[in-house]
Amino acid sequence: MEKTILYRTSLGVVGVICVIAVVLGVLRGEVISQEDGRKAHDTQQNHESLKAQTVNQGAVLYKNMGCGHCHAVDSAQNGIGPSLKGLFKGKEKLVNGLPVTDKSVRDQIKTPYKNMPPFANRLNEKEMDRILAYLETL
Amino acid sequence: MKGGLFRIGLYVAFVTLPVWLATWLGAPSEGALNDVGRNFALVGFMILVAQFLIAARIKWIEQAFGLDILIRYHKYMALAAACFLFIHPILLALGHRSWKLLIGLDLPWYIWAGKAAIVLLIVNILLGIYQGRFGLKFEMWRVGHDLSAIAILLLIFLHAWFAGDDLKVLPMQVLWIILFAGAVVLFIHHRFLRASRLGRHPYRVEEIRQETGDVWTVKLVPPPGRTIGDYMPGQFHFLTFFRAPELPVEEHHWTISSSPAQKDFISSTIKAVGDFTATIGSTKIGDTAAVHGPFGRYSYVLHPEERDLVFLAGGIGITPLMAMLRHMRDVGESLSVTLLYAGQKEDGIVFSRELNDMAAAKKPHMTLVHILSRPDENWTGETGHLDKEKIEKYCGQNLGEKTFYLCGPVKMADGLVGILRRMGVSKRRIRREIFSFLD
Repeated sequence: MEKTILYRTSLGVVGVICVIAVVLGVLRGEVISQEDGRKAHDTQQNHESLKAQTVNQGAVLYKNMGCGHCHAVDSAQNGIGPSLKGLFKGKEKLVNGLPVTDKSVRDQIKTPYKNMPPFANRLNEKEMDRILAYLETL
Repeated sequence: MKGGLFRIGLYVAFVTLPVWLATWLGAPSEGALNDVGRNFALVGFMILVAQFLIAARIKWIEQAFGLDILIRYHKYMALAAACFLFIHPILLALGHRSWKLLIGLDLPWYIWAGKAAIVLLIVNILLGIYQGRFGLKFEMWRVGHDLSAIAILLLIFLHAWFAGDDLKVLPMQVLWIILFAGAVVLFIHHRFLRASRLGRHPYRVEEIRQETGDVWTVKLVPPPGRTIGDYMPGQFHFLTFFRAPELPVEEHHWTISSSPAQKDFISSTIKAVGDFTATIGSTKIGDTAAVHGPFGRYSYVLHPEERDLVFLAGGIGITPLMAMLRHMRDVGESLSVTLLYAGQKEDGIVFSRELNDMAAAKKPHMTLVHILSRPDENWTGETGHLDKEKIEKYCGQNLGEKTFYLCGPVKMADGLVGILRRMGVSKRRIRREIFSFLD
């Protein structure tokens, strides 16, 4: 009976699509954390290598979030936004006048002072940790 | 469903393609909830793009399934896309542990674009399901449907372009643009370019004959220099009539009622049931019509091994079955057919004389039974409705070797399917043609 064969086929197709989307979604995290695990296993399983991973993840996030569109990290040149080179190494204040601390930088990223787009909805706490770890190395 | 499995496999591969790409090239993981949420958005968009492919009546796709089946599939897919897209922000909100995305007001414009797309899609779906009940004229509904489909695609494109973390790498961006542009090009080809091309080489109305009080047969001949293409008896086509200026110009689909064994003309037998078909009687010889077809896989010629057929017809549902009977007559087909043709009154029987001639001449070998529910006093044939009793009487108890072709009003056909199934007929031996795309 065409109609119910059609119905069952459609259901099957949607089911397969759903399974693929879910499995690949779950796997994406696994693929990366397996790589983390491998890296941690190869270097010594210690605090320093864990920190290095966090910094690397922060660097990737920094790139993917497009921060480099407005902020320089290699030079002190201000672009659309101020340079972040040496941010935690003696810069006096942020543009909003607050001193540079872990908290004030996080707040600035979440709910920026001026023309910067807000990232509160786009970064969770773990990602924020990674970005901060990266920024601290600049 | 020949080659159907292959095409279905391709469909799944197509729809999930960006997910495969994003897993390896896209943004890093943000936790399972977020990643699945992003994947759902990707497949939701891909399903919508695929619908433009399906609706464009591409022969390679259509020939495997039949356009009427494809359109029903299309409706299921629209629902599936809406589900994926609706769940997408919910998963992201859960993944970010913040409901701000869902209920916040101070959000970037591209987030609002995404929400607008979901709302518009749901409205589109509801209007498709309840179009009749809203009293919306078909043509008006169709234009709205087409435009909103494009709008939805555009909104999702923009939303994903600015909000989508997976779209920050070049390969994904290229794919995104190609998909959107492809859908738009398909739409333009289907609705404008091809429609205009068919309109430039229209068929001509050679004869318009009134069969009964509200049923007309229109015979069309091809333009000079062209011949009628091949088609199977039972297939349908789209006709866009160009007639007197005050008459509407709309594309509608009807069964091809002529036999493909003759190459002089094609015909459709049309009943006045709606605001367009009410004007069919005003069609004149010399009027023209753009013809797009043939479509569908409802035809006995697809199953040459089946030799014992039962046709169950109600009202104007006789048309595809008549095309098949005419073809059987023309090619000297030796199989046997039992036609149970239900109607109300004797003067409402379409093709009455021709059917009697066929049965009398045994061309084809047909047992012809008319069943009238409101006959005049002088009617000596069967009365009442096409029910289990009539089927048993004319088809016997052992229905195992018979194949049933149904065509008639939805309720009648639904009922008959139930009766046949309870009598033990296998699903694969019940074939049904449903005229309306919108139910």
